[in-house]
Formats: sequence, C-alpha cells, structure tokens
Amino acid sequence: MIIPLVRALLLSAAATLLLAAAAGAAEPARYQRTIERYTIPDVVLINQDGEKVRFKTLFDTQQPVVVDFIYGTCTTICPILSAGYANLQRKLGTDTTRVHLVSITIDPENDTPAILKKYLAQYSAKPGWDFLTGSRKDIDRVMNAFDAYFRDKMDHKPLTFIRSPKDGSWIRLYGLLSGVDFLDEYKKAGLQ
Amino acid sequence: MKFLLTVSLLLLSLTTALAAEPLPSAAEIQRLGERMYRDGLLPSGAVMKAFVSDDVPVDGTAFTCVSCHLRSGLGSIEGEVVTPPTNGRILYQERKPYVQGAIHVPLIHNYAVYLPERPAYTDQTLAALISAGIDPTGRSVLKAMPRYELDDRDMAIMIAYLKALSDQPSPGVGEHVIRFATVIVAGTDPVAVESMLLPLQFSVDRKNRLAAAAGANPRVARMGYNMLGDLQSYTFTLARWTLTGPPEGWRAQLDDYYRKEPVFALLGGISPGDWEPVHRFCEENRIPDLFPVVDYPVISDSDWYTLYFSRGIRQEGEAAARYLHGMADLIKDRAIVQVIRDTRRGRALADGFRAGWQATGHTPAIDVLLPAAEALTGERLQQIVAGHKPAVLLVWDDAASLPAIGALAGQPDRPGLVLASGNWFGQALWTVPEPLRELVYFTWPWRLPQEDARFDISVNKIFAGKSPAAYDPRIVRQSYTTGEVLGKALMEMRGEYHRDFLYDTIGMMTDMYYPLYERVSFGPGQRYAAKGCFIVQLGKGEKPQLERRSEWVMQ
Amino acid sequence: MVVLNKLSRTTVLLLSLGLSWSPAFAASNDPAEEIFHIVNDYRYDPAGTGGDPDTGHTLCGTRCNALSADYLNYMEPGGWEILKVAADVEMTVPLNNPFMKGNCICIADEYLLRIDDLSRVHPVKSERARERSSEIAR
Repeated sequence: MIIPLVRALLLSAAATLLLAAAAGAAEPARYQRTIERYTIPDVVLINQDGEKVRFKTLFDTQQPVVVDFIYGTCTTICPILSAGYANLQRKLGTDTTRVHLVSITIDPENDTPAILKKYLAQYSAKPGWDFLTGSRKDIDRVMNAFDAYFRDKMDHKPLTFIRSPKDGSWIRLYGLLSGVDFLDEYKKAGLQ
Repeated sequence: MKFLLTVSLLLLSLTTALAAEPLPSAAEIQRLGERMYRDGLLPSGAVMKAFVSDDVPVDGTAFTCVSCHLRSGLGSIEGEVVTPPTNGRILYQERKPYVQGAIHVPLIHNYAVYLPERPAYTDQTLAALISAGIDPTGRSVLKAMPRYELDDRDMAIMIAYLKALSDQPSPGVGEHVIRFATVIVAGTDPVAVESMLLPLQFSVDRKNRLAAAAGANPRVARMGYNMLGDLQSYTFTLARWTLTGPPEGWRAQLDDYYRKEPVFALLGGISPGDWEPVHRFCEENRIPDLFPVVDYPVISDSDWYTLYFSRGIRQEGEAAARYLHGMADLIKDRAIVQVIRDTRRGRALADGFRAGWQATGHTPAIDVLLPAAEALTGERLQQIVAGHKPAVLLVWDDAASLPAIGALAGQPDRPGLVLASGNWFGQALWTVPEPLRELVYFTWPWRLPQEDARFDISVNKIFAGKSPAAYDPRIVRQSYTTGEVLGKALMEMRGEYHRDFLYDTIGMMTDMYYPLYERVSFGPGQRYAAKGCFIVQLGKGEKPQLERRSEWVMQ
Repeated sequence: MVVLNKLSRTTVLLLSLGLSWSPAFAASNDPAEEIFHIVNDYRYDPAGTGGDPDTGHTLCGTRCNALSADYLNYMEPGGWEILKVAADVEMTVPLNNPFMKGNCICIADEYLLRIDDLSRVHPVKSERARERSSEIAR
C-alpha cells in the first residue's frame, strides 16, 4: 500500500511547515501567560462523588494544583483542555496524585455529580483529577475570583491556572496549549 | 514553493489510491460513518485515534467530530472558538471573500462568512485535512482540529458520510413553507389545550403575517430580510394531530398523520398523562418535538429528539433531596419519612427524592404509601411520626393533608421540618395558617409569583383582546416559551433547515429568561431546559408572599 | 433583532449601574419600586450556640444565596431599570434551620428596581399591566 507512506510524507511535510512557521518572527504567541495572585472565596462545592468540598482548603497544600473551567456538554474548548489534563496524568506515571488537577464546571445548572463522574470516566481520569460543581452563585464567585467570569457558558474561554506551591502565585494561561507547552509551563512553576 | 509542489504530488497519488478502494453500500456508509462521526469508533469497532493541539493523543471515545462540528455538521461557536461546517455540500464549495455589507448577515452567529477564503475541497484535500490538518490552500488549520489516523477505506467512508450530512433540507421544509404539527391527546382538559395552542398559533400567525406583508411591500420585505434573512419569505403551518384511545394505539395514528403530512418538527403537544409513545415516535423518526406540556416526561440522558421544559413532577422530589443534602450532617442517624399518596404524581415525587438522596450515599428514606382514596387523618400522620420519629417528614400529597400536618405543630416529637409540593398544594398553599408556616417548606418549580408578574408585559400581547381568565396561566407561559425558542432558533439557523441543526442551534443558545421558570438553559444534548426548583416558605402576615430558602439550582 | 435588544438592555444596565444614587433614595415609598440584593459573600455566626462552623458555613451559603437575586430576571422582561444604591451591606439573618441555631451574615450589594422612564410616560398602560400581573400571579 502506497497510502500510509504518502500520509507519513504528508505529515512530515506539514510538520516542516509548522516548524518553519514557528521559527519565523511573525508567529503570534499561541497563548497568553501572566502571573497573578488570587483571593480564593470561601465557598462549599460538590465533587464528582457528591462530597462537599470547602474550596479554600484545596489550596492549603504544598502540592501543585492546576485549575480549569469546563462543563459536561461543552464543545471544542473543554475536550481540548481535558485531553491536556489526561495527557498530563499519563506523563505523571503511576503516582497521579502528585498533582491535583481541578476542573470546575461553569454549567452548574446541568452538571450533577453523576454527570461529572461520567465525564471524568470518558477521559480515563485517574485519582488526582477532581471535577467540582455547586450552586450557581458559588460557582460565579469562584469564576470571579480567578478573573474568569463568564456571564454565560457559551461565552467560555480557554483558561488554565497553575498554582505554585512555593509562593501561592498563579500562572494564568489563556489559549489552547499543546502537550509540550503545558508540561513546560508546569515545570516553570517549579514542579517536577 | 517546494513544499506546495510536494503536497500537490502527494495529493495526485492519493487520488489514484482513494479511487481504488471499494466502498460499502450507502446504508452501510451511513451507519459506519455515523459511528465514527458521533461515537469515535472505526468501522472495525476499534477506537479512533487522533492527536490534538499538535501532540496530545486523544481517543475518539473521549471526543470526536460531533464534539465540535455537532450532529448536523454545520459547526459551532463557543466563546471565541469557531468550528466551521464540515458537511460535504459546504466543504465542496469555494469560500469566497466576504465583503462587508455585500450580503446581509442576520445574526452574529452567521459566523462562517468571516472565515478565511479557500478553494473548494476535493476528496483528496479533505483527506489531507482530516489526517494532517492541512487545508486546500496549504495552511495548517487551528490546533483544535484533531489529526485522525484513518486507513484509506475508513477515510473514504468518512468522506462519503460527510457528503451526505445535512445535504438536503429535512422533511417538512418546502421551498417557501415549513410545516409543523402539535399533538393533542383526546381527553385533555379543553382549557389546557387552548392554553397550549394560543401562544403557538400566535407565533405562527405573526410569522405568516410578516411573510404576507413582505410579499406585498418591498420595503417590508427589506425590513423582514434584515431581521430574519431568508426566513422572512417562509410561511409556517401548524397541524393539530389528535390521538384517541389508549396509548398503545397512538403510534399507528402518529404514523398515519406523518405519512399524510410530513412535518419538520412537532411544537408543544399536550397530554394529561402518558407521553412515551409520542417520545418514541419522535426518536425513531428523528423528528424534533419542542416542549410538550406534560408532567411526566421520559427521563433519559441519551434520547435526542424531545426537548422538555423540565424533568416534570419528579424534579421537585430531586430538589428536596439536594436541599436536605446540605443539612445531612445534622440529620445524622435520624430517619427521613416519605408519606406517599399512591398516585402517579405521589410516586413521581417520591422517586425523584429517592434517586437524589441515594445518589449522594445517604441511608434510604422510609416510605409510607397511602392508598389513593384514603384520607390522611391527623391520627394516621401522628402514628407515622410516633413510629419512626423522623427528623424530616416529606408529605407527597395534595392540600387535603394540611389539617393532618397542622395537628403535628403542637407535638413534642414533631419532625424538624415538613416538606411538601407547592405545585400540588395549588392555591391552598396561601391558606397555610401562620403557626405552621415555620414548620412547612415547599418545593416551587417556577419563578416566585411576585417576581414573575414582571413578565406579564411579554405574555399579555398574545391574548389580543381575549380574556386571560379563560386560559391556564402556567400553560400559556410555557407555550409562550416554545414560540420564542423556536423563533430564535430558526432565525439563527441562517437558511439551513435541518432537524439536527435545529437542536444544534438551540444547544448553543445562552440561558434565557422567559415567563414562568426562573431560567431556562440549553447546551449540546441537554433536553430538560428548566433545571431548577426553589425550596420556599410562606412568609408572615395576612397577605403573605413566598420566600426563597434555596437557590433555583443546587447541587 | 434579538441581539440588538440584548445589547440595548446591557447598555441600559451598565448606564444605570454607573449612576450613583444616595442610599436615602432607597427609602422611597413608591409601590412600583423595590429593593433587591446580590449577595457577594457570607459567613456563619454561631452566636454562642456552639454550632459546627463547617456545617454552618454550608447552610449559610444556601441561606444567603437564596436572598440573592439574579439581575437578569429584572432586566429581561423590560420596562424596569436598576440602580445600585449601596455596596457590601452586611445583613444578619437567622440561620433558620431546625437542627442548628445561629445567624448568617450575608454581604450584599443593594439595588433599587423601578419602572423605567418609558413606562412612566404611559402610566395608564403600566397600571393596567400591573393589575393584570397581580391577577395572574395568584
């Protein structure tokens, strides 16, 4: 069969083009990165097992924490963010709980614990990845605290936050990151 | 340049190779292609593999074509990420440069025209896009588009599926007419039927008057076009399909109606009880039904074609469970008792509570079933309370249970709180005597009356001189929502009248604030629009108002 | 058309939120005006009852959130305007739970809702609409 070879060539040609573009000065940044400090609101959320979680206490830890905002029936943005989380867990190997990955729904209307659980299973999530829902007003407070308030879930933007355990600052990443970018950012936060 | 030459040569060889692959029958392509597109499974049954964002491996079962391009293939928009259409009819047309003002864009959702121009796809360039993310101009498309690893035959099936996707308008769509029907189950209270029909007919008539006026007056036509795009020239029809006899016989009647007049979608519909046969008919024929007025919708997390206002009566029971979940640590080992009137309504409330309460891992409540015709006396209720000493008593019964609940008020071993259905209590809710008001909480699956009154300004226009007193105010408000959602969706569909696109469009709508429900919200695949239910108490004084004790939605 | 409506409503909201009215204005006795709150934060005060702070915090979340309005419910029907009259007001309410005592402190922004100028120009029409409203509300 000639086709697999053709496809391989095509892919490598595409890769060449991408590399060439990446080397050019005109290539725009693929995502925006800022360092921020956030005040975490004292609200009680519910995880995928229906357990109450006092949100603030998630960050009383020396463990790295990553936060993103997604929802169960979302198109485009969430699948990509979640594929990124799943990829990171794969790279972590057997001890996936070394990093706490937290997804927070921006659609608490629809996202019951059962829906959260199903979503995690769809991405083969391992221990260390929690998905939180709650009352709409509490979720609004969390979004506001991260300067990530969406008036409606359809105004959703791709945001990922990495908390450095060293000084509690946050790396705010705006855009859809490749696996390599995500791991780089993760290391920049001082995490191994 | 060298790169482009390489790509062209490769595409040339692809042409030959793709043509050589034998394809299955059209029906098989539809089945296998749909499975790849929607479920991320290859014709072999194996999981489709892809890379997204350059280097992130992803399984088709986590996400696949449908996750972004949606069922109709006509694309989606979320935040600032635009997913263009992926159906053959559009891909195989050149995307011309868009000149501002040259053609009218009815809504911001008509986003595709803003995308970069490109030549028409061919089978070969489409294969290059799917496998390598390269479009016919040689550009690499957004990283959000996964690069799929498909062999030649699977690629050919996928391309053939995309060519058929949303290719022709759905049944019920004529050159200048869109046909709808509404289903009325004989024996439904005539006031309820008229209340369901009035707002629907209002929406249809309003649309048709505009089409007629536009036909007669070019200035009106221009105005209509600015508002509605090509939809302005369409007229709507609304047939009434009446179902008689027992539910087992409905399917044949529906098939018969549909054979005589294929419709694009069902609007509303009403039944005092069963709806499942209509739900199944829609599911099997892939016909949308927007918002039937029913208390007992079919509960499913995978069925697609009926969009309900809410999960019906059981949603109140589910809300009660969520409310009590917040104080579960205080209830500890004390019992929760459900007194359940053995009717469909009583059982639906109890089922909702049971499912919600047990989903969070609590000890099941104790159920006490009351025969349908047996009055709930004070003695009986006290006996139940003395026997189980519950922390919480749920009374799933009508307002005739009020005196029995009242008799508990003075008892030393009374439960901490009593929860009942405000919906079922009806007007009697306002007669709860003051000493009881602290003890009794109600589920209330609508906006509070004092706040909903502000929305009358919208609803009143549909009465057009008729007396509102002749109609059921809640059903009128429900049906008003149906007309509004349909109108908004059709406007946003920008000439693509496909059934799956109707639901894709509704799925992309922002939360809406219409009369009756505090909020209706949508989302891809979400089929119960009003997801909340307040827990309320009756306030103090002679003219008490309902006071919220919970948010609309709790988890 | 829908989009334009939304835009103009948002504009009205932004404009009205930008105006600074004195809180005294809130004391108006006009029945067509009402006060509502949007709760920003909350805390539990056991008030010497020994109530568990964690559970109290959860329950105060529910209690205070229930007092909080969704401003879109006021803006969407049209005919009304919203004026912010005070920020971060502390409201103390009893926890109101049969199994635990104590109070909740709800920290809220206070808004005045009133009939907008357009509806005021046609008071007769508005009055009729309100009468019909109260009939249907009950």
